[in-house]
Amino acid sequence: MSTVRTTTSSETLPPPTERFSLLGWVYKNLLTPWYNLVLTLISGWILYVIVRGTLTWALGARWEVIPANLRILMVGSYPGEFLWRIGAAILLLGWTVGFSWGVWVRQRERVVWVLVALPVGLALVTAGPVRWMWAGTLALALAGWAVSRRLPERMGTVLGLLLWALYFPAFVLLVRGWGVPETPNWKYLAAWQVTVVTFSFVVGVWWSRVPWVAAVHAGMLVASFLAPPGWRGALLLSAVLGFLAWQVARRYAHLEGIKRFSLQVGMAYIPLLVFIFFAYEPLSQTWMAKVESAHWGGMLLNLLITVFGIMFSFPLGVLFALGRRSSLPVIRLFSILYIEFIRGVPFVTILFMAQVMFPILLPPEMSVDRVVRAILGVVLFAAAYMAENVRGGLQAIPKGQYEAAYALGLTTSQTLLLIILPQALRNVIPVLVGQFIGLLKDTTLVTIVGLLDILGVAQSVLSNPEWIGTQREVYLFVALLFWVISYGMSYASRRLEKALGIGETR
Amino acid sequence: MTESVGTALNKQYQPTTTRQSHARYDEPPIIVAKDVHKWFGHFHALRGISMEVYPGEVVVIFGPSGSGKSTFIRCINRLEEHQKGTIIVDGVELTHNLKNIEQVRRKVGMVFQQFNLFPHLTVLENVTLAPIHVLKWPKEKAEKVAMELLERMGIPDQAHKYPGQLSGGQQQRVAIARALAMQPKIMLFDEPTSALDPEMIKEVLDVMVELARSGMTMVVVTHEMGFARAVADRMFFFDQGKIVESGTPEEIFTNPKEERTKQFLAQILH
Repeated sequence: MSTVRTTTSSETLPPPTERFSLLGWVYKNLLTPWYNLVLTLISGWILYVIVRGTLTWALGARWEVIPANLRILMVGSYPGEFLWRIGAAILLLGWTVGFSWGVWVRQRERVVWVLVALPVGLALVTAGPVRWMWAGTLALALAGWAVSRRLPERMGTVLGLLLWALYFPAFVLLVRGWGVPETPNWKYLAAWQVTVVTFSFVVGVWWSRVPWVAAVHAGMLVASFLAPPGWRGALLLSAVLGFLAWQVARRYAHLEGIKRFSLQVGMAYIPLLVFIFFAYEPLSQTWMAKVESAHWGGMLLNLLITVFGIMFSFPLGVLFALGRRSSLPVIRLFSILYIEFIRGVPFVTILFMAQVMFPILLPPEMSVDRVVRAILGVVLFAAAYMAENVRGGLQAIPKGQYEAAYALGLTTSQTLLLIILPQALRNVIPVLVGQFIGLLKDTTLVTIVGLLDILGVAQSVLSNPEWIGTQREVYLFVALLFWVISYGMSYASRRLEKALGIGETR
Repeated sequence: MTESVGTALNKQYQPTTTRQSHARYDEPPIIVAKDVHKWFGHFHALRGISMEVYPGEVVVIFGPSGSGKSTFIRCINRLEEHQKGTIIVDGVELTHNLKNIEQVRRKVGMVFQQFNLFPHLTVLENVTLAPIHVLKWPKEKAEKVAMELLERMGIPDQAHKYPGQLSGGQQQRVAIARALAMQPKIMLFDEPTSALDPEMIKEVLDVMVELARSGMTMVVVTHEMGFARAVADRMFFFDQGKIVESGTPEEIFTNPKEERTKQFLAQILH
């Protein structure tokens, strides 16, 4: 009787389909009704004016200012004969990133973009030795990736973490240099031999089952060929002696009392350290000569301050966040005072205070490097904000998580490290990365305390009569550089969130 | 047993196995609570609770909300601190001494109403976490034991999923496996089925019955009277922070002495 079609529950209907046509979309959204047409015309005109203006300027701009000053924009007044050290640091970074990629990302298709496209792109826009450096970085990154993919997962993780832990000291050593005399005196050579033999022996006794300690000796062997001539024989000898001491220690590691003996040997080494300390004399700086921090500049300085700022302010911030929630009143009060004091003071003030106050607070014979002072200022400032962000993450963790962990017998620190922080930090990744990006951009403020970061260099370039009137080109280049790095960071954070987001729903 | 209570009970949860008790009343009690008091601010939550639980015994605590039953079992592993009286668990008195608290928590497993699984770890990692970090077992051994427990809980195929991907009943069974992985002498259950959909309650009660039959000492806060009748050795009725009445399930269901108990049973068994 009824003509109405009823759907039964067993019948599943396909979703409604809508055919997309470009013309239809344009007509519907841009041309009708009349006010949309008016808006389309107005915005079209505005767009035309902007694009025409930009193109006219960009085509006639004096872009040669960038390549002509690229070096000082990037590294400031870093001496040209030592530039290879920064190159070496980048090559090492390529290897480390590639290796980590193989361990933690393990996806083939993503390799193309970051590991290949980035260095290739940089190699294309650069020239001469720099181009070769990027090519080498690409090769090393791919090699690291290929090697680490073939390692067992656990070993890869350990080695990856070790690489990163070693990378930053290596970076600083490379960029700063340490100054080694061409021909060392016998005291250093003897001290070096004893050091290597002692450590090889102790390590062999305590970790007799770890075979890759041999890699350290192999490393010394390689180093002996690269070192200045006066050191070669000594390095070669220490590699051999160290290897032998290590082998002996491994063989007898099972003997009773040998661990205690090895500790005694280690203790006996301490007077030797004292001897070396007192025997210290200013070294003639010929090989890996020191580059004073006054010469570190440009983007190198910005990145340096950013990386070390993040590295130190992050753990400090987490500690303050935990401190603010501590049940111990002294710790809580101190954390609150610190956080609220720092948050109440402008960043520039803190930078100035770091420059001015540290020399007053410390004894006169101890001087803290200007760059280190700037980093300290950044760390102290960022840690307070970091603490507040992390606290937000901590507050979002339900009480039941603590109770479950305690009921299982975990201690307070185990509960924090294994249960609470992993969840709390994951929740605040977007906020933290936002703060890291802010930190990167804030590093340009160090110009104010007289450091020549990229903005400082840009200003000095612009005051050069040869380049007067090129503000637009220079500042646009600087902005673009910051944008690329900031966007890279935010992209990485989104990837990280996705990777950690598994099992998010409770 | 009065007619109405009997029929109502028969409509409740019924385990498939027959009743058997493992309570060893000839041994000294494993939990001794004497005149335990607890205040939340001015609210007097526990007003002199005294109770002894014997090895292998299954004790069910029931009562209206706010009667202090959860607070009491949370005092047994010191998630709450009692302010007066003594609690001794397996010969260790709970005081401010952290060593004692640590010792007690290793012997006592706990299952919560809200499961409280760790959402950032897989099921297997949830179960192996404490054995690896507290008992210092090697990972392989912990995983082997964990898989056996998950097998026992009937969910070995969920081992590599995250808690968020599991149903409520499965999550609660993981929580039981997690507590059992520490090889506890005593298991505390704080309303383990209250947050579950009706069709999942049975699967959790089944594993709890199996646990009771295996001789585990259990203290269970629950309103599942079918479960209580099937496995409880003794039942305690709490109201307003006091034990109103205690006895065997037979005594409680057939012949409750207190009017308050009768009233409450009639309400929850309707």
